[in-house]
Amino acid sequence: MSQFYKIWMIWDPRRVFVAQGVFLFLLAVMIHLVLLSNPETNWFNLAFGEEGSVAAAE
Amino acid sequence: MADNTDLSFTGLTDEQAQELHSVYMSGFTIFTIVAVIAHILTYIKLPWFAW
Repeated sequence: MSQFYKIWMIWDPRRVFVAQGVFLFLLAVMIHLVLLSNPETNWFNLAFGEEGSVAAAE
Repeated sequence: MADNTDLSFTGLTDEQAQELHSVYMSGFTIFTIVAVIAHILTYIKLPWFAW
């Protein structure tokens, strides 16, 4: 593992940085949208759906 | 250019690669810390494994 820095002698850092940035961004967007598509994890519905439902329950 | 026996497809020397790697790893560490904190806070608010 200590030799892993040699990766930059194989892969061009600029290309890796751009690719990783794009990949992580798309992954994050996908996961957020997946969660939003699920009624139970949609944090907007949980926050604003049926006004005061959670507050009333406590 | 310093001619050394190491094969470098990107033209970086060993020292340059090590220097870049240390910067890259510190960025990676910060990213990971932020991600772990975000996941902990989210789990407190909405435990997604509690089924």
